[in-house]
Amino acid sequence: MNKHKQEFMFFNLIEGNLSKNEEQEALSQIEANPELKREWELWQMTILEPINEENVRLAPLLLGGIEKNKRQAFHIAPFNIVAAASVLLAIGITILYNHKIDKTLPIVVNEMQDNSIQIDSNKGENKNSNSYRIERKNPLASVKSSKEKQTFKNGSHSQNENEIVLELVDTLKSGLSTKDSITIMPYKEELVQENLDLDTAIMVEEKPNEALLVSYAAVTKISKIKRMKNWLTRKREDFKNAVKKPQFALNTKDKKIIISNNKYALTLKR
Amino acid sequence: MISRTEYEDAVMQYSNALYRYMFKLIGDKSEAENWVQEAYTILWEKRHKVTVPKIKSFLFTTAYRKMIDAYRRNKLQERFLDQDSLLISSDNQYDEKQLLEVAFARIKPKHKAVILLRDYEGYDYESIAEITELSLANVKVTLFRARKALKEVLSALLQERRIHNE
Repeated sequence: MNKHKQEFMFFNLIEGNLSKNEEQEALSQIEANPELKREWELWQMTILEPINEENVRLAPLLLGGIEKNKRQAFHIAPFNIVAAASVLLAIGITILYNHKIDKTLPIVVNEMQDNSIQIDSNKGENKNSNSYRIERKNPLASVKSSKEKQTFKNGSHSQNENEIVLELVDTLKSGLSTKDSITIMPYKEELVQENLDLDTAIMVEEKPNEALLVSYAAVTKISKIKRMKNWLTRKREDFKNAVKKPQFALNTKDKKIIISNNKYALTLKR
Repeated sequence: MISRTEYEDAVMQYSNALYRYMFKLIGDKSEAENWVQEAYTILWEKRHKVTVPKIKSFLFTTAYRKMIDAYRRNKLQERFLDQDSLLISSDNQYDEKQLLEVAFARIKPKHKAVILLRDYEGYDYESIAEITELSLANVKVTLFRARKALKEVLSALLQERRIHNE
């Protein structure tokens, strides 16, 4: 019997893994060999004898633990009420704020029969409005073509700005239905920022249309929002060095897309 | 699900056994107490998912896994090392019981765990596999290696004592 087999025999004897006959045979072999006997004595020493040491402090500690949990559970209840009240208050403020924003949206874009875009600019409560028309020249003009910084004041557009508006609107129109509404308002950073879900805000230079369409798909099909978010997360690194305008942002909560170029913000809301 | 009364019964029935097991594993009373408390806290938190027959193995599994996780994060490594160096630096004058304790302190935590579960708690291989997350075959191999390691340390200590006495 080699050493490994001997060790297995000792182990199986200790563990009681042998039949009566095998056990008898093994013990006879051990008895007949002084070296095996010494080894067997050592193996027998590896069996630990249970101790009866008690820790009298433990039980009260452990029982006290659930009392503490119970007390905590009692204290959590008022917190829940406070949390629920805060959520309701936040929802109320959001609704009021959105209502206010809707009133401040000054411009509505309409596609006219002669293939031009009419932009109506409402002026608050008195319902006075200014209308102006943008001729379609190059609906697919690149967003990148607008690098000049021009201001958007009193309803006047530069040609470059008009091209951007046309392109944005055309892009949106390709996926819009009659239930959708498009509004354009002068860009106010704080207004737009407040409206954005910053987690899903994106900046695109290379593929604005793709970003917009994905955003739109996410808005129209809620099931795609998660995929959209994953896509955005992956893409965000690519967009790091992108130019800052235009910005495409998705507000999933209000099913709203806001496109801005730091001069105006176009909001698509369903 | 376990009720409050069943939880209290579990405290009375298993807390000392779990404490001894953890104490033997780490060699520190207050640390052992902490792991026992941790296991019972988790038991209470998960009482809706645990059934009464599974309470004991749940407690041992949880305490063991938490301890091993901490050990892997090196939180307990220092303690294991301290315990070992303390024993090595002593003067080799042990009786048989002390000798076994010293030898036991020198084997790996994984080896300690399987021997304790087998000898102290009388668990079968299947239960040890559940607690230690080893396969059944691996439990047998680990237990074999554990006893062999313990025997070899015992042999070395006896040899040292013999030389010391001469």
